[in-house]
Amino acid sequence: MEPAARRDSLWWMVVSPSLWALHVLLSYGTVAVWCAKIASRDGALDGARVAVLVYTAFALTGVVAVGARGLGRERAVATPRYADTPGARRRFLGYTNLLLSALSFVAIVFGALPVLYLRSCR
Amino acid sequence: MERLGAHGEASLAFAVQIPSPQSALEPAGRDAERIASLFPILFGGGAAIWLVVMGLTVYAVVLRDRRHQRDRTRRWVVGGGAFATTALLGLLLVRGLSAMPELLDPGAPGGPKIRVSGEQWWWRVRYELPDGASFELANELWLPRGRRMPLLLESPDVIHSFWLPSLGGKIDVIPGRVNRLGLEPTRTGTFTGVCAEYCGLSHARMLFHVVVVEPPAFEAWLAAQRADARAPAAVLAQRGHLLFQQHGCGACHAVRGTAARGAVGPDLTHVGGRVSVAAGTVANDVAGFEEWLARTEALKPGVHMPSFHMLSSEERNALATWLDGLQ
Amino acid sequence: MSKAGEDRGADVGAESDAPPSELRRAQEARLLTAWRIPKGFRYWSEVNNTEVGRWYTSVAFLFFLFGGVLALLMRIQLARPNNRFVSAERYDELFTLHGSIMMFLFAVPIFEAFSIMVLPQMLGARDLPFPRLSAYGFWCFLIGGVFVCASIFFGIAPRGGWFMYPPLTSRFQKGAGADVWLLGLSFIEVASIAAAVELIIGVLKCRPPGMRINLVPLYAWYILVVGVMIVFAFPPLIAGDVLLEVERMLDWPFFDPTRGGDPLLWQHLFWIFGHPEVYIVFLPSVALVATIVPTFARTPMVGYGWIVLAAIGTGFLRFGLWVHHMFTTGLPGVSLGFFSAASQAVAIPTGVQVFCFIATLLVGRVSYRLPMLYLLGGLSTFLIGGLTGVMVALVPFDLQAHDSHFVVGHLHSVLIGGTIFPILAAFYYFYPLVSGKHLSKKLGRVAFFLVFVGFNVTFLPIHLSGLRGMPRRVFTYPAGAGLETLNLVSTVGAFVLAAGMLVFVVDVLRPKKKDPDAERNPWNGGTLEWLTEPDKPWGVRSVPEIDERYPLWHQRDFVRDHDEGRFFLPDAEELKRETLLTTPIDATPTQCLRVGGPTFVTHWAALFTGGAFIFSTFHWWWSALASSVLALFTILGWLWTGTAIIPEKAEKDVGRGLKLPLYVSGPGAVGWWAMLITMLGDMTAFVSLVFGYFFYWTGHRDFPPGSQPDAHPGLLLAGLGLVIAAWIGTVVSRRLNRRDRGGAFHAGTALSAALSIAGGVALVLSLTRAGLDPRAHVYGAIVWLLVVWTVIHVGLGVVMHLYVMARRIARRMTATHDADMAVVTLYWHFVGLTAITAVAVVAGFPLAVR
Repeated sequence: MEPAARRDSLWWMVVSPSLWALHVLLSYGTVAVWCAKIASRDGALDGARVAVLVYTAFALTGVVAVGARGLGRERAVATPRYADTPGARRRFLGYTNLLLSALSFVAIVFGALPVLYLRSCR
Repeated sequence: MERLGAHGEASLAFAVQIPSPQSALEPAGRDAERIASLFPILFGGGAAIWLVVMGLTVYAVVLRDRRHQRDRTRRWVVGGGAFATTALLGLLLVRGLSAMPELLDPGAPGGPKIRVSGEQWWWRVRYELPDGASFELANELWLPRGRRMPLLLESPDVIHSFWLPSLGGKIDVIPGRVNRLGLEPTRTGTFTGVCAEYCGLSHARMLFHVVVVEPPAFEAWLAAQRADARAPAAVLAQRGHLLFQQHGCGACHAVRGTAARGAVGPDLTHVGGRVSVAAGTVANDVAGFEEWLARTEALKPGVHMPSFHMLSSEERNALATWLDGLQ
Repeated sequence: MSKAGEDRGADVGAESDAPPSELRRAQEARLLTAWRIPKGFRYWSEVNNTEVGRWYTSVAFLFFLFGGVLALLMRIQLARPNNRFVSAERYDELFTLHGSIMMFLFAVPIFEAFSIMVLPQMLGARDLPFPRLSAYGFWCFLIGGVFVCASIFFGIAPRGGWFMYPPLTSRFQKGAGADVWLLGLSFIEVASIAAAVELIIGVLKCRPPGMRINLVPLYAWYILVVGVMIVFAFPPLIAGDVLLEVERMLDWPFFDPTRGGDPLLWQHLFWIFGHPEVYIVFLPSVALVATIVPTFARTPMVGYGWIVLAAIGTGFLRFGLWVHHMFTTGLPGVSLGFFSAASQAVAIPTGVQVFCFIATLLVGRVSYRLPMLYLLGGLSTFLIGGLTGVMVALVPFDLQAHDSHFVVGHLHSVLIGGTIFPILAAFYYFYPLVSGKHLSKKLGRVAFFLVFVGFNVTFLPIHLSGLRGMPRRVFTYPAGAGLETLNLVSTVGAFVLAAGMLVFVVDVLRPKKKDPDAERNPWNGGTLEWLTEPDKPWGVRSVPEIDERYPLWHQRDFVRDHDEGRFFLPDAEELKRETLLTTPIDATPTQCLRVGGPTFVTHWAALFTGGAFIFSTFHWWWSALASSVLALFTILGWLWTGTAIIPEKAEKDVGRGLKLPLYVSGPGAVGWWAMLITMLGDMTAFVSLVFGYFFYWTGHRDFPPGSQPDAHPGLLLAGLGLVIAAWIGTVVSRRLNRRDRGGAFHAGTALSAALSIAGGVALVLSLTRAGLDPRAHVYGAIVWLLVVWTVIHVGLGVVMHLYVMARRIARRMTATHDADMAVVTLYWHFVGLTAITAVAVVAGFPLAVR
């Protein structure tokens, strides 16, 4: 039996999607406050765009880290993911984290695209 | 269901036919054209994807004995499905986003400012001209072809939505906010718009018309609308004007150049020259006005204007004649 | 019987270790006594998941038929322009009720009903951990549903649309219609959340030994995700309901722009709920597909991990879509862009799921049976809806399509393709499991073709009429705009669709006494629910040990071992209803859980809770108050007699030499989990209200407004201090109880209760002393609401203090058996957090801004 496979947590599954959610909420909140309180109705997004890109950089770093961790666990043992062993369970969780990180990555990149095309508060 | 048709009993057909286009598929404005240019991509692409996926599924179901190898199928179908989906959606997103700045352009200030107010269940339209003058009309806008005109939209009561499929998209009209919409007609003609947000009983009877003309004609129209109503020459119309005053219509309606100064209902100064009456409810002719006066509530459930069925048909005819003459 | 079990059973000569047959018969007799379904009128006191699930499903389906009839009436009205079949007012009632019924009384409940019925079977459990809670949820659902549906016959039906946008619904529609909607459906939403709590814990804690997280049936994965989403999606709507109802009853101007309110706040709260709702409805149906497809492909699902990815991924992403219902409200374009992006991204996991199903079909040898026909029809329909969904997720396209009949076409393709077809497939698939008979193949085919053809004839033209300028929710349309033919065709299609449903209903209702009995596992499914024998009330004969994803296909002698009671809990020695609890990740057994049996207390509780909501609709305040008090005491009585019962012995032998505790307290107990999940939902509602506060701030130049006083900061801080002291007191009291210092425990708890009351009073005084009027401006209204929310929670905390003191005095709670106290302490953690947040916002934000 695989010795390193005793403890695992379901919480890792929600880390990457939560980073995506945080990214959306922060981006949306920043733009809302920027356009309501700082810029005029036709004003430029300048600062808010920079902020969204910074959030994106942080979120992507986090997602890649979680994905790499998942990949490491997926690669750690050779047991098939449908086997009834703690190692298979760990491999499965790693694999799921990897896939969720990949999806979150795409969703975060999608979420950053609007600031490349829209430059004002209109 | 005992009350089924209780209201319907009296509510006759719209007398007005809608000959003017209101279809997003026949664009007559810059924005509608931009949006319509997406249709072939969306519908063509959608049909292609539907065919591929359904074809693959039917193939899989029909193919009962020759099994595909598990790992390779997973790699191709699942991986390919994920990657192809992501790529297609990414491209589509970029295409959509890049079209947005122009669609959200509210139009340059400078010309007349057009304020539209959605009210239960009609559209108050106000032109504020650069020289400070202004006038009001109802359920109708005129726009010059080829210029992007800014509209400012607000509501004193509930949420409505200003939708003009032929020229552009829609924008909600929300109490407490002033929303903006730029419209840039590319063809002349008369177009129908509707209220797209459910706003109460007569939501379906809240149409409006947009008349697009060449710029010189637009300037001429502005000048004509600024003018006060002309005093009626015919006896019948004069009697109609008198009835209008006697029955207190002026408490709600304004007719510039007369004593009627009410601001609750539509300004009727040039009502006879509009495409329809009561937000697309009846046709704009004497018969239409008569019908509207006689069966107001039946034609437009919940309407704030009382019905004038207690007038004799001669009186209604006189009123209608005067109103129809307010060109 | 499973093929695998049959084949292998013969050549393994393991008969020697089988329990003797007289022992087996005695065990079965005892199990039967424990799980016997009462007869006569007491039948309705049953709480077991199978019975409750059956009633729940039937009632939800009845509401579906009612909603369908309303739709037909609308289609008749729209058959020709300027039709006079129904009045405008009646039409508004029809579309409001149609949407509300389909969403709140059919789509969400039927999935919960179905899951309550089937999930325990799939997990090899005897029941879910809180059967009485399921029953309570069902009775609430029945009362609330009948109330809402009946409103149309008494002229008090809501007319605001299923989205209920204020200010139309707050100030511009007369009558109690909006209250019926707000209160009647809030009542049902509470029941939905209760069921979600039950299902989440069911998936996490009621799995059979050995069913590790990587072996969980896909259905259960989806239900877990959907349950969690309900817990986070419904509370924002409940918060919105509270705001709107308070505005209607007390004139606090949350949505009135003339006094600082903002109608858009409702739209945010509604769609934060409303969009996830669509997926809450859709994912369980995908779960059904993921259950049925492998059976007919006769092979395990291809891409199990990918499906799990899709379920969880969709579960998250769908929370980032809400603004796509608000693309035309005039928000900044970038904000629309963010939500357009998320709306595109959510299509990725959906695509992955579809491709996994196709891959499974490609890999397997497909057995083309009736349920498959429904799945194919569903896929074809759903794909149309999915593709049009991608279209409306693009801002430019949506500027035209939004609120037009195109969206009507889109959403019905998604919901009928993604929900109705899979549910019909599931009816055919699971019918033998529930009733032991098959539905008719012949009628099933007829029904399918009528529904499929009817659907497409109805809804394909509707897309086109939308693009031709037909807006939604219009009671009529003018002639001459090119809409006549399209609408007439749609109406004809609707009747074909309805004829199909009628055939289906006839098939379900026709007497089947003469039909041959179905086999036990007629489709040769691989998952645990097919162990069930419809005539046995206990669910599973013994709780199996699992080491495969499809144990009925792949585990040797599985059915035989199950039937002969060689697995866990083959007996009910004490004649009590019991099931196993296991750990969330590896499904190691932790507890033998005793669950509640038949009772009428749930009915009374539901009746009084319903009374509180329904009387309020008509402003019968005293009756409503009396009903609330009765509800509170009924529920307390139910908890007193039915929960945290101290068992007669500490441990029990559950078979195979395993001894498990009968009583668990703290984070291992299901009650603790239920409180945790409920309070997460409660916090979500509270956060929604706090969001409202800051939303008003972004919408105003002047917020907090200069014209309004702030709450008294000293009293606010004093109130907070007292509440925190009560919180600490509760934590300390729990420790004292643990050390068995009864006197000190009582003193500590009583002190905590007193501090709580003082704190609540101080919080309210901070507002009255400052003279803050909740009706003058939205600032006062939202501050009042945040404080009142906190005070109500503190008040409930006091009730809990008194409850645990009484429990201790009655010796129903002791130093070692302190599950009640653990739950109360957990509740108080959330009260502390609520109070700190509320005071920080109410006292701190004005200081920061002014």
